[in-house]
Amino acid sequence: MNTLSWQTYLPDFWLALAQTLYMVAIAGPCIIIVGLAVGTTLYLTAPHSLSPKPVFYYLLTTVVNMGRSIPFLILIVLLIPITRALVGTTLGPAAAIIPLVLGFSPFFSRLVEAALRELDQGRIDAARTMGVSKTQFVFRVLLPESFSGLLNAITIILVGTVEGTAVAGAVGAGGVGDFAIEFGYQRFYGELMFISVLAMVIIVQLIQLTGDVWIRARKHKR
Amino acid sequence: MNEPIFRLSRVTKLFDDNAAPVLALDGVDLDVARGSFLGIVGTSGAGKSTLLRVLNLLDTPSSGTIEFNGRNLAELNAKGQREYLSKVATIFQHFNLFHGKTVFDNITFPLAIRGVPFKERAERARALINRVGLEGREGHYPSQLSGGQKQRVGIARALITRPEVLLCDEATSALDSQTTQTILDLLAELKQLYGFTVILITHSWEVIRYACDAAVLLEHGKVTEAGLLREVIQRERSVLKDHILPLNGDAAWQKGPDTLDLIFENPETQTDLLAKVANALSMDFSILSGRVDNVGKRPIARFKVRFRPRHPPAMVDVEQVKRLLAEAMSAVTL
Repeated sequence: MNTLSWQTYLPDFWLALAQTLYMVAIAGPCIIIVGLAVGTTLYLTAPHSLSPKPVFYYLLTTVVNMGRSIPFLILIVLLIPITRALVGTTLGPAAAIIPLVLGFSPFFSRLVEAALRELDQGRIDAARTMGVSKTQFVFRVLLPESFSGLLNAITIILVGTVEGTAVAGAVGAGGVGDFAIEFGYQRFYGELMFISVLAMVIIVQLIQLTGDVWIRARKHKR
Repeated sequence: MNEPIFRLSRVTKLFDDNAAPVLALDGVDLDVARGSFLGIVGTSGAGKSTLLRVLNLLDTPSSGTIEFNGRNLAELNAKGQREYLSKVATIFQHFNLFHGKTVFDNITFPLAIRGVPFKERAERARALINRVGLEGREGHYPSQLSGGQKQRVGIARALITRPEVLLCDEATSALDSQTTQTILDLLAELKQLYGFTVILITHSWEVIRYACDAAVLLEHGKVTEAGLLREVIQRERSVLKDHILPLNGDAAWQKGPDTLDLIFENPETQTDLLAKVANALSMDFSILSGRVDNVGKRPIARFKVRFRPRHPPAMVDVEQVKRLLAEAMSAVTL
């Protein structure tokens, strides 16, 4: 039996929570930026799109598909040399950011590409008959008109990233997932397992709710 | 001086990127007179949309040349194309407004992408917003507007660069008939005011009859008939005429040496001439079919009339009837 009360480990829980939030706060925006860039490039270079480059599109698609097909846990291991070179260590929350970004950007790129494809041909034609340049098309038509769909994609990927931090936690990244395994499972503190799960649920709910409320507030703009 | 605003010479467009190639335009020759309200009409698949899409640079012709004010469109560079597109604007069947932008931002978008300062954009937009009747709607989003209002935004957005030509791609086909009329009236009013040329594609003869002063019939990618409406309706045989002033039922097919197909441009004063001429030639006549339509807001009557001699051995001389009628009509018109 446990001789110490579960409350003894609460400070460790708060630290783990901070680590999870730190990983999402750094990796999340990086994934969003990389994914928007890659997703927009996929959209523009696809056959019959605005700047069709079939060979380039095929290569980029292959890279994205490869990124998506490697299980996240294996990706973390595969990236150990790169992580060590860039961060100096393979342990801790900062080290988890590299695999998080590389692991979740490919999926997010696909979500971005799909959201951009929702823009109907009519609005594309209208923009072209006004004489927009390609850059203006991307930043003043394509991305703003797809914003609701992109918000939805961002919500999905941030929730995914939270789950990713838990997996990364299992191989030494810290965070709530790691805490749950170490204290809740291996040391048999059911209470700690419970508050860990509760914390994850709350984080995910907050992200999802923010996304939903924001999208609903834009209902006239769709 | 009277150089056409558009001159199309042997324009073809072949879509051959799939298994069954489609020749959407098959050698189109067409001059568009400056200041006209031209309707391009044809069944779906006749090539109307493709014709419009080569004019607004959404497609490039496979062969042939398009000249705008004497300048070959194929020779325009990116900057030239952008300038051209500020002179030739398009409105669409489904309006194609930007959902994420307000009415104001939609209307001023063509200026914004050309770097026109906000103050000037706002000034030009204000005048147009009043003209098209969208006061108080500036901050609304397209989803909050009715179809007719959306097309008003589309029109203002197209006219904000002060174009010389307004291309209308089935611009009223998604609207009910009453809204269609108000939009066509608005176009006519703005055309009068700003002096641009309208090229409108439609499958609706109603629209041609109501709004246009010239028409082009497109069939299987070819121009099969073209002309000013007032000339077209005087043609002996004309598909355009038969659609603009249709005769109903069997009468349309009745032919014979005693039957005449007559157009009266001033029905009120001219129709009684029929009786006078028939009397003078001592003939009776019966009207097989007849109707009055407003063509470009002027009433035009078309009658199919059969003449019969009062004294049977005599014959009906339709040529003589025509000549006498023509003389009588011109006397009245003058």
